[in-house]
Amino acid sequence: MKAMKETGILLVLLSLCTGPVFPQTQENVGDIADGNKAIPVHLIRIYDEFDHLIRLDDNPLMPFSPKRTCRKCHDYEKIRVGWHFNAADSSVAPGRIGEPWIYVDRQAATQMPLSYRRWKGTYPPSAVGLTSFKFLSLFGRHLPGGGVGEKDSAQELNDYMRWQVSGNLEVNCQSCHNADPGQSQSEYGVQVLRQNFRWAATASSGFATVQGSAREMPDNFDLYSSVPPEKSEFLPPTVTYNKSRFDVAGKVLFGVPRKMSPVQCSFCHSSKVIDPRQPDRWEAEEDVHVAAGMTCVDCHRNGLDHQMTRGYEGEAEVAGRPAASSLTCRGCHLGSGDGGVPAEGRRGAPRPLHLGIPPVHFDKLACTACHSGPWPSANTLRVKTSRAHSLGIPKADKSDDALPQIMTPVFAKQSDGTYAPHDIFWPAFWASRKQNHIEPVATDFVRPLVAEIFAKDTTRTLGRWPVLRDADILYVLRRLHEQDSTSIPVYISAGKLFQIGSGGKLEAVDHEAASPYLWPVAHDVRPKAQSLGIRGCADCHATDAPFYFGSVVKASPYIVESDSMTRMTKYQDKSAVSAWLFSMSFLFRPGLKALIILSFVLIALVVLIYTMRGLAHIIRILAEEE
Amino acid sequence: MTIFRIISIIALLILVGAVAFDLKRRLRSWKAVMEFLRGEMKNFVLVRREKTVLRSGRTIAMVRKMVYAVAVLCFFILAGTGFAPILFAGDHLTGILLVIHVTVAPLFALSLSAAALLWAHSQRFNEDDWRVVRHLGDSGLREKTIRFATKVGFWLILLLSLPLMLTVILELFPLFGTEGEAFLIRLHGYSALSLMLVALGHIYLTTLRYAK
Repeated sequence: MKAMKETGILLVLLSLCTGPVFPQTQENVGDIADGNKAIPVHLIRIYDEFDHLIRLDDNPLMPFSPKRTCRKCHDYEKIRVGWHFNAADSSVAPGRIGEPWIYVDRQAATQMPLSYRRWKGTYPPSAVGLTSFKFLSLFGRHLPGGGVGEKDSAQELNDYMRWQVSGNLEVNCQSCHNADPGQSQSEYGVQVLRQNFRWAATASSGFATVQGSAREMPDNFDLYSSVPPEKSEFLPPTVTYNKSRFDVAGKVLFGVPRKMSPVQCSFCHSSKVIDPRQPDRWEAEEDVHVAAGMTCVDCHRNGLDHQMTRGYEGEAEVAGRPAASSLTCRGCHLGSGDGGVPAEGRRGAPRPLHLGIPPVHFDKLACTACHSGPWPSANTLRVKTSRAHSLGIPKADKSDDALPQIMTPVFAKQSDGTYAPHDIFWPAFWASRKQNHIEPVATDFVRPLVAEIFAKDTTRTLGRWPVLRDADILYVLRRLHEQDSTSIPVYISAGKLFQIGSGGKLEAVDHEAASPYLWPVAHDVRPKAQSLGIRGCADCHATDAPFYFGSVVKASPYIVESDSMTRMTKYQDKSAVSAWLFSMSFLFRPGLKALIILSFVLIALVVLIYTMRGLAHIIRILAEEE
Repeated sequence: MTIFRIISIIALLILVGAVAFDLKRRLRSWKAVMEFLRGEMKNFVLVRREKTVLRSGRTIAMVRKMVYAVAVLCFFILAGTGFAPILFAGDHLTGILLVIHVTVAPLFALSLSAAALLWAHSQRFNEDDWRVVRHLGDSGLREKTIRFATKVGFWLILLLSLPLMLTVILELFPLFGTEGEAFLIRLHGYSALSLMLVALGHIYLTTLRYAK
């Protein structure tokens, strides 16, 4: 008892010594909302990666570190595990399948879906020999930093020196949270391609200029020393701040809106459909929500943990966040129907009438099936995306047929059984096969072999893809077999696995690894008047309607002529015959309707006549009894 | 499991049970019931009689029987395609079953309207029926009771076919929104269930009337 009393007194004294207890620490004061809806002004000091305050007279001038600068008020550790940064975290559930990073090696006739998330059909970057450093050097242009960019455990020992030169690619908060008109994600991309990882955020901020390239610096390059003589023709990465942006106290004004403009998201989330019906940009439409003045984050919301709401049906259950159920198409336009507080009509979302559309459509189709993506045509269209085609990066290939080849829209069945529009992409790569296991071969091995073929025959030129013949494939496969006789060399393209068959001929077989990779697309959402079904059932149920009978082009480096297309029904687990029969029945529907109406009228008349006769009889009997 | 599915299963089980026990009561043993059913299946009474009628050369009788045969055949196809996915899979009617359903439905509607024209007069209620109503349960009026029940079944089938067809007609035009369409589908389902129960009962009674 005495001991307890003493402990109690000690605790009281201790609490008095530590001063008043605040509900939050000073470090994350920016994370706690007090309810004021005004936007806090971010006039702040900037810090470098070593947490040193940056002054304009520093020599050398260091790039500012978003991590060190923003964490003064925000919980960086909590933010860095958000959806945009956690792909390589094996403890994070992969979530619904999404757009992969597409590794393209034109000369090796290779296009492969890569992802650190374990989405079915993707390969980890290491499968093609990409270390996290090389991965960032290729794809970091469209990443907001973080993840493998600053995760020590993901950095391979072989790249240690290069990481020292380039620095970490920290989470670049400004990628999303900078409304400064000078904020340039394009410049960020360029800096990442130059391997100027630690300089990228500064260069894109709009108040600094970064010159030079870490890529050109030797492994022993040091930030504080000059460039070695052998590299003297190259400029080391250097930063110059715009002095006018610093106030007398050395603070810089950051434009940090509470909600980002869609333009900011668009840098990484744009897509351009190569649609002959709308050849020029001015002819294309934008998403109906954006056109109405909404922002991406009106629906794709997140908390401090930056777990973005992706907005698909079922996300609430998958992600364990019930609130996500009201942030889907249905959630806003129809209400989540969970019996709680009504959440529909958010941002003035109109409730659709769907006049005359049988309810089965709402169980079998995702909302996007009728409302999103380009209006389907007889053949799938090419689409270019920010991440796959480096959109927005200077000097990126702007031609319509730039690689990789992605087609859209494909109305495919999703894991929840509904049909939705997808982008489709056909993996093409060289691999070794052991039993049923497919192991991609690094393109470094293959590229010279393909080059040999074209070097031997100067009449042939490399096109968009090297035009490969059966003999070329066989040649490369044989050469690969010479290098590794323990496995069967194969080439995957256009949905087939090619291997050396009996008699030394090229043999095409089906294999899961050759399956196309599809991911659902939800934008751009078309206006109601441009939705499938607006002109009637025939929009989807005609015998030549693209929804069922559209041709999916197998855009690949090597295609067997007779097998260059597939029907849309292939991706719907549907027989083309039954789909055709079903569509045929719509041809007779008007006649069938007329027959039913005629029958209804006849039966109604018969019933009416005999009811009247019965009634007349009853009246007569009653009259007689009277 | 939807309420409609549960109600359908229960209603069908009750009907099948009632028919089985009625047959057992009439034929005294389950073995006899099985033999009766097997016999009726083998010589589908209506088809067999149709052949006889064809031989008789009476056109109107032949048309009547053919209409009845087509209506019964369409009824079984529609009931099968309409209820099988609901009862066994708890799913919507889609795909090839829907194609069959929507193709056969107008034929059924047409044969039903023809049946209405051909039989309405002979199925009208008369003095005998009034006597059956007044002396319900009288064993001396057994034949007349079955005939009366058959007439009731006939008129109920016609009555129930009206909402059944009307719901489809309304559903096929852009008049109702999602909730309205869902209501129409439900109404169509319940009308179909009621019609199916009455029609099965009617077929049973007709079979009893003509069975040796």
